[in-house]
This record gives sequence, structure tokens and C-alpha cells, in this order.
Amino acid sequence: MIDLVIGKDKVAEARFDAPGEKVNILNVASMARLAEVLDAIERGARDGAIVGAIFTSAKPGVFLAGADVKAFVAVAASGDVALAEAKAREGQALFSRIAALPVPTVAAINGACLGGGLELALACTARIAADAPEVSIGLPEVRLGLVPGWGGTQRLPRLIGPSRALDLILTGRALPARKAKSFGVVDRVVPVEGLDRAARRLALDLAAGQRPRRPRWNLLDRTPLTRPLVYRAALRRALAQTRGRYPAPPAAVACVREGLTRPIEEGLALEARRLSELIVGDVSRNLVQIFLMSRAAGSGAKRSAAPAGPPRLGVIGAGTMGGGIAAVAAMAGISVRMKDVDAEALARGMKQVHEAARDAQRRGRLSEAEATRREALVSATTDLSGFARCDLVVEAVVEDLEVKRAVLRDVEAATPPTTVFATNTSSLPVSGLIEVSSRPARVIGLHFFNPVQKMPLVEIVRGPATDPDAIALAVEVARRMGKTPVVVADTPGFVVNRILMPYLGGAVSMLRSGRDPVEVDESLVRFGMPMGPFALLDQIGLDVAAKVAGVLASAFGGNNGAGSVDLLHAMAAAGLKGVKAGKGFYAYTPSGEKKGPSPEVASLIPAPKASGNGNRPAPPADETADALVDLMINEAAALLEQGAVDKPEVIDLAMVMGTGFPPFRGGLLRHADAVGRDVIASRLRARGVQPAPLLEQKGRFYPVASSVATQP
Amino acid sequence: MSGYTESSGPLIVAGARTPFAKAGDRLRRVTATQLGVAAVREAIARSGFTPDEVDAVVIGNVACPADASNIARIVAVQAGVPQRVPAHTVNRNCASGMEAVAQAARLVATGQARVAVAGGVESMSNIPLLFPEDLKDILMAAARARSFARRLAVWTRLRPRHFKPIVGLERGLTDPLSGLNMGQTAEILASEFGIDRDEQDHFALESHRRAAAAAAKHREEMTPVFLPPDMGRALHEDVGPRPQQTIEALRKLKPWFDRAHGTITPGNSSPITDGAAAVVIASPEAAAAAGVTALARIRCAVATGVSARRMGLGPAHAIPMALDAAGLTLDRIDLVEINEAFAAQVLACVQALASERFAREELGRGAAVGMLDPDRTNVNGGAIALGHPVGASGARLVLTLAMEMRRRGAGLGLATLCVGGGQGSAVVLEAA
Repeated sequence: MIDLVIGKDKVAEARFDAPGEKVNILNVASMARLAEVLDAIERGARDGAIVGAIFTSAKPGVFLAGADVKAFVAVAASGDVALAEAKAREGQALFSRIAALPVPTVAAINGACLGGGLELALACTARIAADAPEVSIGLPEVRLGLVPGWGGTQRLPRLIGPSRALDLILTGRALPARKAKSFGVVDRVVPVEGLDRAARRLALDLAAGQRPRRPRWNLLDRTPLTRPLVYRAALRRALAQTRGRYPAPPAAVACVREGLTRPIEEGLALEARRLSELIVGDVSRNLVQIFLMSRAAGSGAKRSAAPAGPPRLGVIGAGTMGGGIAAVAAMAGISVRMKDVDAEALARGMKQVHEAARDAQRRGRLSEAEATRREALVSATTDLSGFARCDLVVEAVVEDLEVKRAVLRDVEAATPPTTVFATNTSSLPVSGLIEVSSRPARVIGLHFFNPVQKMPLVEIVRGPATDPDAIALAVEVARRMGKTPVVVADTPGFVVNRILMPYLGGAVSMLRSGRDPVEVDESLVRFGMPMGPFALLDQIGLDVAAKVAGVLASAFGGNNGAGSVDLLHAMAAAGLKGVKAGKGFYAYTPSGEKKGPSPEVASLIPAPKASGNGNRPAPPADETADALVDLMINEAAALLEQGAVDKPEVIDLAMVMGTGFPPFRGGLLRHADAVGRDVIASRLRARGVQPAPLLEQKGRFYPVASSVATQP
Repeated sequence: MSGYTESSGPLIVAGARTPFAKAGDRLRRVTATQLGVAAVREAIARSGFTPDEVDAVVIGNVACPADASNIARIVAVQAGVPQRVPAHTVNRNCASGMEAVAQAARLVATGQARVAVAGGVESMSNIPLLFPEDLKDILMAAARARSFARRLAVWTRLRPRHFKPIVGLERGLTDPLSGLNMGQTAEILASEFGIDRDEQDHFALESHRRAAAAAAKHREEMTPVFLPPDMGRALHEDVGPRPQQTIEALRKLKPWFDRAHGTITPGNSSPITDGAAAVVIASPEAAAAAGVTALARIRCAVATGVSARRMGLGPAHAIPMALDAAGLTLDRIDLVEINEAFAAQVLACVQALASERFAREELGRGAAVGMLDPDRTNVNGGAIALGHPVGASGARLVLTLAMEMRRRGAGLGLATLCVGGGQGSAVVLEAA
């Protein structure tokens, strides 16, 4: 658990080494052991046998990854605020013991140092980090709807000043080693080979009276007079991003503000109180659920005979999707063989790879040499040479079944029988390819979202005869690429597009009945979507959306807003294709920023159905959002019933990761449970939409115990 | 000296090269390292092996860029070869690329490597301009000066002549042994063998004609180079061959190395060029185990020294040496690739090889070596059209030869170069 060894130099080393695990986390067992270790250090210090102590980790690439998330799920579910506060106080007390040790302490950070792990390190006298890409230092609690509860909101601002501390706490971002040093979070960055030795030396230096030199706080942090500006700015930035739906950021600002000018003990008490309120709250519980679902995604799939190194990828098509896939894969250390028709087409893909490499370098995630090396993992060709060693080949060519079939046949001829062929199609049935394949068990869908560099979701589409090893390989590739995989059945639109289409179609119907698209979009943004349906249509491209909607309409019939497809086609034909054309429902700058509503739209909208109220005020914003979200829920229910996915979690994870469905609501179907199936069914009927059979049945999507009521 | 046997002969499994571009043209912003990575990465990809199956990398390079010490190592690791694999750079001047092939073949034949990558890279665009030595002394003295007054005193020693740049390229192309630059050695051969201007210009014209006609074949060897700054454009064709070249245009050019009486012009010489080429060499056992087919087998590789003044005759010495090592005669060779450093130099070799007197007096042989006839020599054009990136050419010739042998089903082929400073280098390939 934690080995304690006292060296001849009288420096004690407490080495975290969770038995049988890849990472060290702070759970009941390790915290109990830590208490014992601190007992021993305190004793040793009293007796003069110990003059300093260092905390190290035996896990490569991981110092301390944080607290055990599963543990506080239990606390959260209990709803017991007092219990939560007590747990927070326990952890705080333990780390305060470290801070109170009569000998200097140094944390030797060799890798991921997050959340509680950083809080432990902050309680030490000093911190040293290894100059390695695995070092990642931050307080990500806000991403779970919480504030750091073991002293982070108190010790970090005292160390680096409130503005830098809030930057880290409110974004939850993790710093690489050198950035952490310039922020003042760590005192030295040393080569990983000399980390522990450097930590010992620093402990001895501190014991001899040396004081670490730290960067000064930012100017505005330094006087009480200007600090309110800092807090106000931090709060404003946080609220702009979260639109007030997430209680953690304001709570974090309050913890820092109120604690900084008080003795730390008081600040800690306030921190514990705020944490306990947040942890039992709906938002945090929803975010934690999503986090756990995301971590577990695809974990059932295991490769039967996985070789040691990363899989080798082939990509057919170097366009926006193909180039994006190659770029993300290469930055993850996966070698890619990329094919397209000519050098110009290949150059478009290579440009994306180059940008990804420079970006990683600029952010400090990769050194220049490593960025160059990974960029060179992509080789480009105009034929199928060099594909024979690919484990997985993804095609990202035009959405045309015959073209894709030809690609499949060519690739199968150029690769051994074990190679998995994956199609990135968003609208064509994977079965259309499986049926012409000579190895149907190795054909899958691997649906990335645009842009590949940013969108975290991948839909892995399984055919009826797909072998589990092929799925497992796809899961491994997706995970290595940093994506969250969901495994879905081969139904039109898979999960995300299938559920989105009626929502988008419903929005267009509203437009046709005279609603203002700007208002509709605003209503959905207030609901929590990152953008409204019309802005989303512009992003997707009206022509693409019309085509996909057409495909889905023919598969499912009227429920998919088929009536609105014609309008989309008309707009696309008039050149209003969306962001890529500079105008759609909105007008855009060349760099893709929204300028305002597009004036041409009005001329294309047929007059609203005559009902005599040309100047009817818009229905309350909630109703608009509810109406459209109900359409999503309806489709999701149908999907679930059909067995296209195993369980509601898959849908919720897909919608959060694939469309930005508000995580604070826990996901589409958790939100549906909060509203109630009966309410949704009757609302749908009132609008003339047939509810899916599942919605007419009593019950919930999630059993009560795991469900969380969301704010309406 | 003897060559490799049929059973042990190292195999050339695959290869690739970048497009070649005249120095200062489209590849001028691409470093030698980047060119090398493009060629090596593609050669490995085409070979059916993966980078971690490579056991050794040998790369030829003459310029030794200041920021790429042992460029072979940097190219290897950046191209994906693991750090545990050794790599070294070789310099036999113009034949460096062929020397790399020879050394890699030796590693494979002796069992030190199952799979080796051999290549050559050169960015002649990026050969630096140098400051005169005197300026260096002044700068170092200024750096060491302890006081402002002393430093000022040092600066006052500066004169305009200290800033007159020395063209590194010029220095590089001048041979200190003979005191002549490469073109001057070619003029010597033109005089000695009586090769007139017209003959040279026609030779050059034919090189361009053949290269242009074989553009599709050259493209088969090539992998595109993606151009800085954003890699969003690609160069995928050689910048060199001129399909529209006319004899009249060639005639208009002035002699470059001997203004008054010379015959060598930029039109009948190979251009200064940027480019890289690489091949993957494997043992027969490694190739069989991986299930990969080879382009050709290496029969032997030789190098020899010749007079520095008449360095262009290197092939005239290296060819018979290679043929002896392989137990062959020139008439049995189906295809020849000879580097066209200068038209005059190739034509001089042709005469020398066909001459009984040359064979007797210079090679110590009883009979002439043989005819290097045009229909089996440089059938797809040569360096006059394609360019001569000095470190890379030797590897490019081997690659072009191997691929053309495969196309024609040819049984035996020979690649050879002359070397500045007075050497000749040759490789014999046979069908795999």
C-alpha cells in the first residue's frame, strides 16, 4: 500500500504502491495506511531519527490519481450531508497532519497527480516534478460538480495566489511539468531518472534551513483591495461557460475568497461544508455517473491475443474525417497508412496531422522531437501498398454504398484475413458492406464525429455476425485515441444521428409554423445544449442533414420529421448550406463564427399555417426546449425497445459525448426519468406525435436507486 | 574479392524516393532530415516489414547538416525505427548512397541484421554560407573580452572582407586533392577523349527525353513530400526533366567551367539537387519468413580509387572490378544505371570501357571491358534530367535499376557512379 523506508540520510520515503493496480488512488485502505505512516514519521521526527520525508510512487506514470470516485458515489447516494462533511474533514485532517509535520516534506511527482493526489502534495513543504509527458497536475473536481475538498481550495491559492488557483480549479485542467513550475505549483522539474534522489536532496536542503524560491502572486492577487476584481472575473468566466447550471464553480470561488483571509482551519471547515452540499446534489451525482459510464465504456471487450505494441491503423480517404482520424491516431502514437487518390488529397490529410502535432507541442503535451516523431507515424500513398500489416483499416470515403463496397473489396484483397475493416459511415447500413465481404465477421462500423480532433464519442457498430475480437480491437483503438466508445447495433443513424434527427426535424417544423429560429436556439441553450438545433444544422451542413434525414425517414417513417426534409433541400439548393458555405440559418465569418441570423431564410420559409395570429407571442422558452427534447426521448425509447443498444446508459453516454447533451442533467434518459414517462407521453400526444410504446408503459428507464432527480 | 552467393545474397525488398528538385526550388525549405524520413518511412511501409523489425539503418550524406549529426540516426528514429536499433551515416562523396547499400548488404549477409534500411539524403539547398575564419577569431575574442573597452578594441578589427560569405557548396564541389572542381575534371576528360560539345548536348537531350517518357515509372518509385510550413501542399513530381528541352536551347548555353574553350555547360551537367532515396534490404530467410517478395538480389558491391584529376573515369574502373567479383562479363548485363554527373564524363567512360588500349594501360586487362550501349543504359533517363543530390544518388540508382529489372524481367543489372576526389563505385544486381 505505502512502504515506509528510512534512509541512512535520515530522510524517510513513503512510497505509494497499490497492490495489483496500475494506479495509486486515495481510498479507505490507503488513507488508513497513510495515517499509520504519518504516525511513524511523527515518531521518528520526535526521536530525531528522521529529518525529512519524501512521498513517492512506485507506479510508472502515476503519482496519485486522486480519490476513489466509487467511494463517494456511496456517500452521495446516501444524501447524508453530515456524513459527506465528516468524510471531507477526515481527509483534510490527514493532510493537515502532513502540513504540520515538524520535518520538511517533499512530494516527488512522477506522473498523474490529480485531485486528492495534488492536495496531498500541496500539504507538503515542497514539490518536485519529473520532466516527463505523463506528469499531469491539476484539480479536476469541478468536472464532477465538486470543489476540491481536502484542502485544495485553501492551500493552492495560498501557494500560487487566487487568480492562478481559480484558473486551475474552475477549469479542472491539468498542467504538464514545466507549466506547473511556472505556475508555482511545483518547485523544481528534474529528469525522471533522478526524481527520487532530487526529492531527498531537497528535503535535506529544506531541513538545513533553505527556503524554496517561488514565483510571486499575480499583481491583482496581492492586495485585498484588488482581489475582488479577481473573484469577479473568475466567476464571470465560469458563469459564461456554465450558464449558472453548475453550482460548483461559484462554490469554489466562495471557498477561495472566504478562506484566503482567514486562518486555514476556518477555510478548511468552509470548504468541507461546501463540498458536502455539492456531493449530495443532483448535478454532481449526474456528472459522476457520466464519468463512471465513460470510464467503463467498452470495458467488456477484451482482445483474444493482443500483441504488445499499439495497433497499426490504415485509413482510406484523407479528407476532413480521414485526415482527422489519422491526426488523432498519430498523436496517440498509433502508426497510420493513409490512402487517397492523389498527392493533393493526401496533403489535405497531412496538413491536419501537422496541425495536430504543432498543437500538441504548443500546449506542452509533446516535446518537439516527440511531436515530430508522431507526425511521421503517418505515411501517405495513392495505392494500397503498405496496408498488409494494418490491424484495422477505416474507410472515410464518400457516403456512397457502391464506392464503399469497392473500397472494401480492394482492402480485403490487400490485407490478411485478420485485418478488421471499419466504415466511418454515418447513414449507410454496415450490413450493406458486410454482405459483400469475404470476412463478414471482421467488418464493423466505426463512426467518428466531426471534428475528430474535438468530439469525444465513437460509435462502434456491430453486425449480427461480428466477432467480439473485432469489437475489442475497435474499442482499444478508440481508447488509445482518447475517445469514449459506445457499442451499438447496425440500425439507421445508429444512436446519435437517429435521436438527433427528429429533434432537428421538429425544430424545422417550428420554423415552418412561424417560430423564430434564434429564439428556438436560445431556448435549447438555456436548457443546457451547447448550441441550438439551427446552429447545429448549420454545423452539420443542411445538405448533409437533409440526406441523412431522408435516409432515416425512409427507414422509420414519419416520426423523423420527414416533412422538413424538403425545406432543408430547398435551402441547400439555394446555397444556404451552413457554416461551410458561410451562411445557412445564420451567417458566418470565414473562420466560422456566427455573425447573426441569415436574412435569406425568411424568404424561403413558406407562410406559417394561417391561424390568424400573426403576432402570437412565442411560447415560454421551457416549452420549446421540452417539446424538442421530448422528440429525442421518444426516439431513444424506440431505439431502446428495438434492442439497438444494450442499456439506457449507452444512449445517455452517447448523447452527452456526441451532442453535448447537458451533463448536469445526467443524460437524455435520466432527464426523462426526472420528468416522468407519463408526462412526456402526454406532452407528445398533445403535439400530435405518437409516443413510443415504451413511453406508454409505467416505469423508469433507470431503477430508482441509481436514478437522480434533475432540475426541470 | 567475391560477391554473394545465390542463397545468401541480400535481397532488395522495396524502396522509395522523394521527388528530386533542383536546389533552391520547391524542396529548399525541406531539411535533409525530413527528406530522409519521407523516403525511409515509405520504403519500410512498402516492404511489408514494420519499423520495429528493422535491425540497422545506414544512410549516405555528404553535407553533414550542422543540426543533424549522424543524420542516419535522426532519420531512423523519426521514421519510427526504435531507439534500440543502431544507425550510422556514410560518406563516399557522390557514391554515399551506394556505399550505404553496400554496407547494409554486408550487415545482412554476415547475419548482423535480418532487415536493414539503406539510403541516401541530400539537401544541397541547405548547404550553408560560411563566414571567413578571421571573423570567427574576432567573434571568439570578443566573447572572451573581459571589459567593454577590450571588447570595443576587438570590434575595431572588423573589416568588410570579414563578411564576404564563402559558398559552402562551391567549397564542397571542389576537390582538394586535385585542386579542381567537378566540372573542371569533366573538362579534362572531354579533352582527353575528344568529346565535343555537340555530342554532350545530344546526350543531355536524350536524358531529358527518356526521363520525360518514363515519368510514370519514376512516379512508381516516388513518395510525395509534404511542404512546409503547413504540409498542406505536396511535391509529387521530379522538378528537373524538361520534356520540352530542345537542342537549340542547349546550344545557347555558355560553358561554365572554362569560359574560353570549355564544353561543359549547366545544360549538359547534372543539376545541384535536393532529394532522398531508400531501400529495404533483407536476408532471404527474413523475407521468406515475412512472406515478402523481393525486387532484386545484391550480387556484389565494390569500390575503387582512381586519379582525382580524372575522377569521372571511376565507373570505368569499378565496372570491371564488379564484373570480376560477380564472375560476369559486360555483355551479360541487361541493364545499366550510370550516374550522369556530366555528359562528358559518361561518354568518356563509354569510350574507355570500349577501348582495348585503356583496358591494357589503365586496367591491366587483356581485352576491352565492353560496350555500354545506349539501349540498356539509363533507359529511364539519368541525373542530367533528374538531378544529382550527392548523398542520395547512389541509392536512387540502385532503386531505379531494381525496379526496371523487375519490370522487364531482366536477369542482371549494374549500377555505378564516379566519385569526386577520385573513386568509382558499382553494384551488381540479379533477379530475385
